[in-house]
Amino acid sequence: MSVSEARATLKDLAAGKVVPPPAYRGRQWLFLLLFAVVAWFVPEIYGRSAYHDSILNQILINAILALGFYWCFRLAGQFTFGVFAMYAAGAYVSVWGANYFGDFWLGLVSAAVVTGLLGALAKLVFARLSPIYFAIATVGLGGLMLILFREWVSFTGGYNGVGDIKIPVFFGDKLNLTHERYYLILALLVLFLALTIAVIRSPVMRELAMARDKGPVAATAGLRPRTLQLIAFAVGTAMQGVAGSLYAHNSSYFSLESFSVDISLSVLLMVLLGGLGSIYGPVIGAAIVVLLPELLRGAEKYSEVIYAALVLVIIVAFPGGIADIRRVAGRWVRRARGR
Amino acid sequence: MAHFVAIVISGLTQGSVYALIALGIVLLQNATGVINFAQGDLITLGAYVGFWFLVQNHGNPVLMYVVVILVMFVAGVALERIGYAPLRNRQPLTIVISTFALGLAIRSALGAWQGSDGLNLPSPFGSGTVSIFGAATSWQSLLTIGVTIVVGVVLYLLMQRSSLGRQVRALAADRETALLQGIRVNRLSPLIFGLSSALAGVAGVLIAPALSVSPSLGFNMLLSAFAAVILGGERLGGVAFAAIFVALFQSLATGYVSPNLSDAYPFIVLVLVLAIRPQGLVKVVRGVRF
Repeated sequence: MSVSEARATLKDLAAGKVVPPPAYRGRQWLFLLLFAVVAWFVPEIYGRSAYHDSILNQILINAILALGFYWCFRLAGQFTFGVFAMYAAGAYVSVWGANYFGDFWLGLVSAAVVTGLLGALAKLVFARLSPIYFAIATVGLGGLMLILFREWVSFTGGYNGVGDIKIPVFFGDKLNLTHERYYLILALLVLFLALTIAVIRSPVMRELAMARDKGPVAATAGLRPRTLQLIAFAVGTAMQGVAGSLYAHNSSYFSLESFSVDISLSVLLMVLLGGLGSIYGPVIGAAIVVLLPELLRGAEKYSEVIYAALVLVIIVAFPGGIADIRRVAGRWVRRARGR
Repeated sequence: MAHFVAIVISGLTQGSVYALIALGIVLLQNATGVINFAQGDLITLGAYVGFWFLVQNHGNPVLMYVVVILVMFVAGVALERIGYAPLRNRQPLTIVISTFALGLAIRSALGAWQGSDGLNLPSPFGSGTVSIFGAATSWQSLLTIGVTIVVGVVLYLLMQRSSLGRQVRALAADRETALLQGIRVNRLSPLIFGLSSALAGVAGVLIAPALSVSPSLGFNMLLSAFAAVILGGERLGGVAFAAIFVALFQSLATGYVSPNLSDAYPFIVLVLVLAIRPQGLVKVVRGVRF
């Protein structure tokens, strides 16, 4: 909330009006419905080929991954660089689980459970670290997990990769085409967004925000900041695992080469570009981060340089991300008028 | 015996390089409070500058070190102007992201400049070796250890005897008080960025002959250096010793336990240290020597 908004709120309160807290002001459920409907029709407009369809799927999977990071970072208040490891773990566990139990959904659930537990464990073990060191610790832990996956060839196939992947099933229908799987991934994304909205609109959010911003004070106020944050963090890593699972089942083959620290970096960029203030930030960010390199393909070998430069410019110009663009633009307009 | 000596020397060589990187990170962190995630890519940049000067322009090997240090100092100052100065008053996290983005920019610019294939930077001594207790030791690793000792001594003198060093130490001890005493961080920070990136550049040139020069050269070493930073308790001397400890642990475990997991050992050290003793192994004595 900016100062001017806070003043407006105080004025309303003094005038005896009922002022709902910020989370209730937006029509979030309506907006989610709108988002779902729009996203439902996107493939009709954009997805004309298998290539476009695969890009759309990638955007949605990345959006789930980024939403998982948003949970860890925004709700649990813990910055993590281990996203890539959770993504990889989710993919491998899910492929194994689906083959072992003979069902895609059980594979997905086992991936979520395993990555959720791993996240909770990491959060417990590194509970006392400062934020920056926690970030470094998660890079270390993630690197260790990747090395483990590389050496544990019987489970992951190492660099040769795995090809024996179950095709997702939805109420008995096999989703053979990329185009069909889009709706499955979209449904899960919308489900997770709904979960996030439900949490943000509940009193739990208030407690999480207090635990994040004023940890010791929250403890004196009778809350259990550690437990709350632990749960939120585990849910976040479980979502990252689900994203990994969807990635695995969306492709017919993948190997260790698909996973590296760069994933963590691009997820971070998604959340920052999209903006931390809104739960649609991760979705917008995922779309930008996936589409931008496609658009820059014409620039050939300089595309990555341009990409890095753009990221820098956006971070400097829009501290609140793209979702915050309205406010920044409004400020620019006001400043221009003032002159 | 020869096997053991060879392992120890390789550990010391690797440790010297880690120490140079870790010292750059700690120096910067002490003076500005920034943890520079682009340090790994600065190592790579140093190696490429060395390659460009020595191989592509047939430069003098001794002059190469001077050139690398100068170029890297300028690169560090540029990094500060682009990635840190405009964001100085933002959250630490924003600055971390910006150093990350700059690292990505450096990496991809290097890829665009020299291609992503591995290049070979020859050692100024060729591939000659000398026998120490029966262990064949390359001149390059002796050079690496030697240069690190020289750089360490120079850095020590700079920190203990110069006004610059006093300012950095004051900032590290108590940031607010140091600022109130009138230390101009804004003047200091380009200098420290330059110094830190020159250290990374030297590390890159020293390690390059043992590896192949590619855009991803530096990132793996970065994490080992972080392990050293945390172990060493963010003090220059402690960090230098911790770096050598990490590298010795790595080479001993590689030699006697399993070579397959060679790259996992620094991670194991890092994770164990952070889990068990996050304040580092070296005892921190604050506010004593000023």
